[in-house]
Amino acid sequence: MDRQTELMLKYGPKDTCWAANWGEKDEPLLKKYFEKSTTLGREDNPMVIMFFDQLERAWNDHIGFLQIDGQTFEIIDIAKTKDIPTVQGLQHCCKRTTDLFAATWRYHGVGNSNIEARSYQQQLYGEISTRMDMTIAGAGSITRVNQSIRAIGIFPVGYATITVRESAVFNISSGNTGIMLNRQVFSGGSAGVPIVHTQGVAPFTVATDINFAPVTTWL
Amino acid sequence: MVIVQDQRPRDWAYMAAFKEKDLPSLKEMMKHIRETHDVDMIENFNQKCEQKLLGQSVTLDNGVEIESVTKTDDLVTNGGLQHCINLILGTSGTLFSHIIGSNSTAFFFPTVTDTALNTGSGGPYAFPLEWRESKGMKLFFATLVPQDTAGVSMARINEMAVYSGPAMTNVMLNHETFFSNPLTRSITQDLVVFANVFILSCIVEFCPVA
Repeated sequence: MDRQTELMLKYGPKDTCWAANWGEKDEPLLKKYFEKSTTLGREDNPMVIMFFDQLERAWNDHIGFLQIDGQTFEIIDIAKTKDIPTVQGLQHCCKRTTDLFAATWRYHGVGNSNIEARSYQQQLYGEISTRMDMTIAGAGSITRVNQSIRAIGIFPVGYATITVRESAVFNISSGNTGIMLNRQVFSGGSAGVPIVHTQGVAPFTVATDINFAPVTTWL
Repeated sequence: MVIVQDQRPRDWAYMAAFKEKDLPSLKEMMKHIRETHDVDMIENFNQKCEQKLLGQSVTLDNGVEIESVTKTDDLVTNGGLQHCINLILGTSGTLFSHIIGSNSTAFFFPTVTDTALNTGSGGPYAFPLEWRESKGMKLFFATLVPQDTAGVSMARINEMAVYSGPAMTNVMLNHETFFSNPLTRSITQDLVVFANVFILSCIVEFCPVA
């Protein structure tokens, strides 16, 4: 492993990601959930907090479920990994802190490459199809919870068939362009067995938590 | 199960004293940095402060000699980090704009939940930022503490913080204290101005570079 990746893992923000398959008929409910979530603002949003709580609950072999308008829907399959923000991603964060004209983080992409994550990478190596615009209520959510950026991409039923082995947050919508904030790899084993999405069957979500002030805890 | 240690961004600050006669040169340097975003000049300034701390005689590129320097390593606050993320995500448009200093003889340790300075012996004194830049994974902020005697207690500054406005009701980014190692300055013979001006310069680093 290169020195900069070691430093990022040791001193940089902590990046955790969950990829989840939902039920066959859950796409409208997921969209409705995040449309409602949008009305609660982009800071410490309780519906976003609930969403991540349920992802972690499902990862711990309990039923992870959400409710909206009296209807319950649950996570079918989940993968979790802890990977890394990129150098360029953090540089862009710093730039945004002093210059509001720089494009902000907005798009969530996925791919099927299991090349290990490194802090210098700037692309998903097996990215296919469209990135999800997290600022559109039905397509995801990007908010702040305490000292974390929480980014959620909702990938619809019609998204191309893929084994979700990698994911990242970008500032540009087009594949293989823009600045990449982080890279997550679901390579199996303790890093989480990747979920498989089949086009036309069910939606999936990819949710990232980038914590800028992690405290001593157990994940 | 994995233990994650405390890993918030690192934060440190320099307080440098200069002769009052060098004020025009310092102002010109700061104007140049503001207008050109010359971050190399900021890094050079901070590097010269480090050299001065080692006891060397140090002159800036514009010929101005640093009289004395002190340094502190403190911390970024939770509220400050939250405001950084709000800026990153575009949910806030209020940039960090001031450094506020104060004089307090009470010794205390800053905490990540701080939102205000202790002002027991004077202050708060708000100074607009002279530079606010980013380079790599670092943020740079600095201000100039003028020579006038708006408050006699400005002879010594014991703590400072970057804020998103001129009042302590705004968001505090970091909290730096100089209790054991403050710089002091005396009033000139005409009893109107201080004999020195200070530059307060601080750095927030999200991840060190290999």
